[in-house]
Amino acid sequence: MGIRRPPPCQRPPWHPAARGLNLSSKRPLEETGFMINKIVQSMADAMADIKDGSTVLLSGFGSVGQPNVLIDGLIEQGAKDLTVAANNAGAGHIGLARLMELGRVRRIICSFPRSSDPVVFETLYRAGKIELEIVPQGTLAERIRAAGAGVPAFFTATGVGTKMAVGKEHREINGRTYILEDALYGDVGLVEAWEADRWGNLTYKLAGRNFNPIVAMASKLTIVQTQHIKELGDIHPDHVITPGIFVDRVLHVPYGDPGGF
Amino acid sequence: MSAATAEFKPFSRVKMAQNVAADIPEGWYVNLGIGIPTAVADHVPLEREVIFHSENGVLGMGPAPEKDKIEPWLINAGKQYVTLRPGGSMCHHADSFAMIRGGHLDLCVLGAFQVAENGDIANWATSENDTAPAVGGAMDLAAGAKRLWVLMEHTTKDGTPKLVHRCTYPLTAMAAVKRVYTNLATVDVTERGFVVRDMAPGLTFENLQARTEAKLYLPA
Repeated sequence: MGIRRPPPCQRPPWHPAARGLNLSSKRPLEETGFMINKIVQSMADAMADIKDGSTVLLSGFGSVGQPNVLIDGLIEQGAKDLTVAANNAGAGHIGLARLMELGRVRRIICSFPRSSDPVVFETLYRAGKIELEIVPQGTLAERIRAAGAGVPAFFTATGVGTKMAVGKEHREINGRTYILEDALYGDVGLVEAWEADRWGNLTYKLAGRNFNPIVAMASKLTIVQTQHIKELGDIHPDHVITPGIFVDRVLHVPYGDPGGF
Repeated sequence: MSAATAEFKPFSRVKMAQNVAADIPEGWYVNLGIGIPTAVADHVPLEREVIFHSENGVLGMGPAPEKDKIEPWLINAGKQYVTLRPGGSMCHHADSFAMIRGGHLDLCVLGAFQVAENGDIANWATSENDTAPAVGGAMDLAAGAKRLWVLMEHTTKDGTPKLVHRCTYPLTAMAAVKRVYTNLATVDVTERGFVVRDMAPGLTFENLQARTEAKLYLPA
């Protein structure tokens, strides 16, 4: 990746040269540590410091927009006692299903645990080895969005009069009854992007967007696998869907098209 | 049932979908639930501009793709491959559900296990002891769309009525259903209760009532 350095006259006041610090002109900026570069070179760097007991927000709707390679990285990394929030509860014996099969997930928060092959989840659930919190899909998305937007809880009509409302605060507003739902914060968010740059600006492809932008917003540590790396400035500002402020680490994974569901 | 065995011809699955499609006017934004409701789109002609929404962030879905023209990044909520019409757009999940929960959809069509005469719907779990419940977007759609129509068989396979006085299965939403299309009839949910709009050819009102737990009314 080419490193572009501004000429001295354009250096902003925070720049070390502007503060009279002597930086060798031969040293690339990335070595000085003053260039933002969220692109990591290895899975180990991408997964560093994920702690046991973390809440992990996982994007994807079926396998579309699901960061499969990062999930494999999390399996390798070893964190356990996890709470995982995802729309689905995994299929077959790969990805999230594998993470659960290895006993690393204490609790799953999802809207639709069934899939074409939900054997791992069903087995753990029947054996009482995994906690399930079932959440209407829109409430799940809004709880994640709310966390990213600094909204700790919100009222919604979804679920009023159903099992979902049991034990929740009810309030009548302008003649309609609502229930209070909490924001859902992630310690870690795993995201699949289509394009990314070193500032962490992201685009997505078609239905691959789904939960990715809100997972990026709601997580303290947002880790992205991206199909393509772009030079800074090559993603048109009007086309950035997730601005880099929501992103911490980017790993280049030219994964190809999503497979089965 | 002996009094109700007179000759009549239930609506076929195709005809049921056609019945719903015929009532959707141009310009409506519509979400079709997984299962039989998905087939409704096949009976809305492309020249009638009805905009179909899918929960996973797709607005303006077109017909299913030909086998050699599948776009692997474009699926619907049932995880089937779909196409986008010119003018179609994508959004993230929270925006997609804001379309639902914010009251922007003109219509949602869902399947159901039971619909009650007060408009309650039960469509996500058949018992309190389901192995693992799965709700998806049904509660958001039922509570959020401007109109909820249900498309379902009139009775279960063993003949148990699905149009009931009060739902016995866990509710999806209260007082949400506005109209029900079945293989035997089309029924509006009104303040009086179920009002019959249409019946399968040869079916009498008494015969329909015999297959319905809740009381039926003829239009005033």
